Amino acid sequence: MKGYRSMKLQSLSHHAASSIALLALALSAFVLPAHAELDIAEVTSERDVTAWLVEDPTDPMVVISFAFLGGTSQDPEGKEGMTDLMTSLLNEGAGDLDSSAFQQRFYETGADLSFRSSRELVAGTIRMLADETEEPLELLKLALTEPRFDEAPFTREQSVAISRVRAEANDPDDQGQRALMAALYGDHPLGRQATVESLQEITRDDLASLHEKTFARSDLFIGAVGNIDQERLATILDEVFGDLPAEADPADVPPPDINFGKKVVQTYDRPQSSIQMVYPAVGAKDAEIYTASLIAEMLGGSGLVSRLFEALREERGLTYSAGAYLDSAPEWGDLTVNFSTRGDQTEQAIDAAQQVIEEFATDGPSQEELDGAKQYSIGSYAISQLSSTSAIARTLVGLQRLGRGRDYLERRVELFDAVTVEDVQDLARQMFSVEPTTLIVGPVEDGDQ
Amino acid sequence: MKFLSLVTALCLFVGAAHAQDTAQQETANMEVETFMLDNGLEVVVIPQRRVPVVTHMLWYKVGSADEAPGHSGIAHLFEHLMFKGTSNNGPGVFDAAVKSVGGEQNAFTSYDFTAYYQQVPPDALEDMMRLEADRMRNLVLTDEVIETERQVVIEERLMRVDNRPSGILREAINAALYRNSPYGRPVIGWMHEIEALTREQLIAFYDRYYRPNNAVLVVAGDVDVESVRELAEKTYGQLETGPELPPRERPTEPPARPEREVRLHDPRANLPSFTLNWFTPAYFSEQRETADALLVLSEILGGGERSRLHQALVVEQRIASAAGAFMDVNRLDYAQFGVYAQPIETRELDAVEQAVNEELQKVIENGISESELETAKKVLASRLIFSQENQMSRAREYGTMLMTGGTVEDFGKTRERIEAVTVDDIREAAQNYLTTQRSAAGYLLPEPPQEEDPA
Repeated sequence: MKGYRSMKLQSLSHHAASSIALLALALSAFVLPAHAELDIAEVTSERDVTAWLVEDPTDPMVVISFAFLGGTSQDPEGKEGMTDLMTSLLNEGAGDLDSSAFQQRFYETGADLSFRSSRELVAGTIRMLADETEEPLELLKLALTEPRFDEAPFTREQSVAISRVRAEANDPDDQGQRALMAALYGDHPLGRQATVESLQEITRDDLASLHEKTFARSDLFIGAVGNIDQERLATILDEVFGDLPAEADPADVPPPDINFGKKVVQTYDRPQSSIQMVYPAVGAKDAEIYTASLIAEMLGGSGLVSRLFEALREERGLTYSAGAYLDSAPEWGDLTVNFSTRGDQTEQAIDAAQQVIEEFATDGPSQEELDGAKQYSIGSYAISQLSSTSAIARTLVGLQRLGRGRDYLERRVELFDAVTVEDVQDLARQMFSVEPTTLIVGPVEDGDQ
Repeated sequence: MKFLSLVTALCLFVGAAHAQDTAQQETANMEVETFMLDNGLEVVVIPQRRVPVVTHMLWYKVGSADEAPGHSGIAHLFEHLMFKGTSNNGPGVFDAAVKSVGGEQNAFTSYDFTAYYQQVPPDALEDMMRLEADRMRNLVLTDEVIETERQVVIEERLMRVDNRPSGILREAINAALYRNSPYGRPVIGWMHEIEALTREQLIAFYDRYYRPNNAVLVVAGDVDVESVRELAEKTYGQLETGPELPPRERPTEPPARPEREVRLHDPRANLPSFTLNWFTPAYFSEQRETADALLVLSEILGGGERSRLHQALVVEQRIASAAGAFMDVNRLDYAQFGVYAQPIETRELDAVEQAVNEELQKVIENGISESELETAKKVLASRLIFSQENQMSRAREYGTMLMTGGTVEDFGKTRERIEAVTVDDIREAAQNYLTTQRSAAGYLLPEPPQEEDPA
C-alpha cells in the first residue's frame, strides 16, 4: 500500500523490546472502552477457570484469546530474550508429539494459532471454524501444558534469534531504538535488550522453568468470541486450561524509574531524520488515564486532525507523519511524540513540535477542542477495538487484565465526560514541564541541535 | 525482510479472500448486492451487522499504471490532494465530520486503483456519502495547497523508499522485472517526476478519472441495501456522468533472455537477503487456472512453517533464519509471484540461493503430492473464512476484484477456483511461468569487507 495516508506507521516503534504489540496496544492508547453494545457473559468452569464470552451464533468462527502475566520484563539479567525464545518454541512440540508432528497435525486442521510475548504478558490466540474446534483445542492444551523444548528446535530457534540480532546490528533505527530504551529505563529490565551473548546464555532448562512459573491459572485472562455457548465454553476451559498449575510464580518487577531529559543521537547519512520525544504520562490504572489519553488525542491523535499533524504537515509540509501516543503499562506510562523530516529540516521540525507542545501546556485546549476529542474517544471504540471476532477476543482479555469489570463499556463514557479543561491543563503542565528524552536517527551530528 | 512475510499474508488474504463454502455463503455472504446508478456508478453492499459500524469505500479505476510517461506519482499525489477541501466544504470539514463521530478515514493508491474510505457509525453514512460525492467534482486546487502536499509526499517517499535499503532495493527489482509494463514504476513515483508535476496536469487527471462512471462504491457493515440505494441516489446520484474512458490497455512484457538481477550493497545490511520475483498471469485474466495454481503453490512452497522452503532452509539445513513465498494477485495486468530467504550467516548466501533453486526445481520437475495439495486447499479455505471476520477486509476484497478485472459474477468464486486446482496444473504453471525469462532476482548485501592495508 504505497499511498497509505496514515500516520500510524511508526506508532509502535517504541515497543522494540516486545515481539508483538497487539496486546500492548489494547492496553495503552485505546484503553478506553466503548458505548458500543456488547453482551459480555462471564463463564466459570468447574475447575474455576474464568473467561469472558461474547456469543454470536451467526459467526462461522470461534476465537479464543488468552494471556498470562509475565512477558519480556521478566527476562533475568544476562539472559535477555528468554521470554521471546520460550514463546517461539510453544508450537515446536508438546506431549508425545515432536515439533514436526505437532505442527503438521495442527496445520492440517486449518485452524490458526499464534503466540506472542509483550512487555508484561505472554499471550496467544486460536482461530477455528466453529464446527472444527476439537483437534485444534486438544493441541493447544498440549502446547500450554506440556511443551517439550526439544534440543533440535531449541538450538534452531536460538540461532535464528541470534541471527536476527546480528541482522539489525548496523541498522540505525534498530540501534537508535535500543539506545533510547537504555536511556529511558537504565538498569530496569525494560532498558536491557537481547544480545548475541544473552541469547547464547539461555538453556532449555531456563525455558522449561520460565514456562512453569508463567503458565498457571492464577494469572490467566481469557476471552472467547463467536459461535460458542456458555456450556461448551465451560467445558473447553477445563479441557484446555484446567490442568495448568493453580499458582503462577512470576518475578517481581517494579515499575521503571524513567530517565527524562536525555538525548540520544544515532548519526547516519540518509535523506531523512526520525525523531521521538518521550515525556512522562500515567499508567492505565491511574484515574488520570482518561485525561492523558485525551491529551495524546488532541496533540497527535489517530485521526487526520491534531495539533502536531496540523502544524507539521498541513501548514508546513515538514513531514508525512506526526503523532503522539501513550504507552501505558498498568502502573506507569509515558507519552511519545514522533515524526520524520528531511535531514536539513530536523531542527526546524523539532522547534515546531516543541512550540506546539509548549502552547498546549501553557494555554490548554479550548472547550470545543476537548469536546471533539471526547466525542472521538467515546465513539471510536467499536472501530478500534471491536472490528472483528479476533479483535473483540483480544479486547476482552485486555479489559480483564486491567480489572475493568464488564460494565466498563458503559462507564467509560462517563469517565471521559468527566474530564474538564482544567484537568487537561493541570496534567499537561505536569507532563510537559519535564524535559523529554529525545531520539534522533539521521544525518545529524550529536551537538547539531 | 519482514516486509515480505507481511506481503505474503496480505496477498494471500486479499487475493484469495472471496470464497466461502456453501454454508458460509448462506450465513456470511447471502446478502451481497450490487446495483448501478444512472450516472454509471457501480454500488456493492455487504451487510454484516455485529457491531454498529459501517465501512464506506469509494474506488476509482485509476492507479499508477494509468499514468502518462513522465508523470509518475500523479495518482498518489492526487490522492493526497483529495483531502484538501472543496468549494462546498473547506479544508478540514470532512476530517472533522469523521472524527466527531469517532470514525477513521484514509486512502490508498496502488497500481490499478485508488480508494478512499471511512469507518463510521451507521448514522454518519449519509454525511460520508455527501462529502465523498462532493470531493469527486468540487475540489479546490491552489498552487499553495499543491506545493505543501508535494512536500508531504516527498517526505513520504523518503520515509518509505530512500531512507531504507529494503525500499531502495524493492524499487530496483520492480524496474528490472518489468521492462515495458508500467508496473516497473513505483506507485509513489520517481522523485524527479513528483517534483515536476504541474497544477494543469493534476486538474486534467482529476477531470478525466474522478467521475462516477469510473468509480465503484462499496458499503459494508451495519446497513441494508435499500437505505444504501436511497442515500446513494441522493448523493452520488446527483453527479453528472463523465466522458467514456478507453479500455485500460497498457504496454505488456516482451520475452526476455538475459538473466536479470539487482544488487544493493548497504552498510545497514549486516546480513544479506535474497528474493526472486516473477510476473505471472493476472488473477482475472484468461489464464485463470494458472493464477489459481500458482496461488496454491505459494502456500505449499512458502506459506508458513510447514512449507517446503521453511522446512528445507530453516528446519532441515539450518542455513536461513526465514524463507517463504508470496503472491500479489491484486493487479490487472500481471500477478507477481516471489520467494525470499534470509541466510542465517553471511557465508550461507550461496547455499541459500542454491537451496531455493533446488526447491523450485523439485516443483517444476516432480510437482507436488496429492496430500500436500489437499492440505493446502483446506488451509486456504479456512483462511478465506477467517478473512471475513473484518468488514474492512471484506470491503477491500470486493473493491479490489472490481478494480482488477473481476466482475460481480466472480463474487464468491475463489473457493471453487482453489478447489479445482490439480497437481498437474501446479507443475505446468511452475514449468511455464516460474522461468528465468520472467524473473528478476534481488540481493541486499553487506558492504564488502574493507581491503586490509598490505603495509
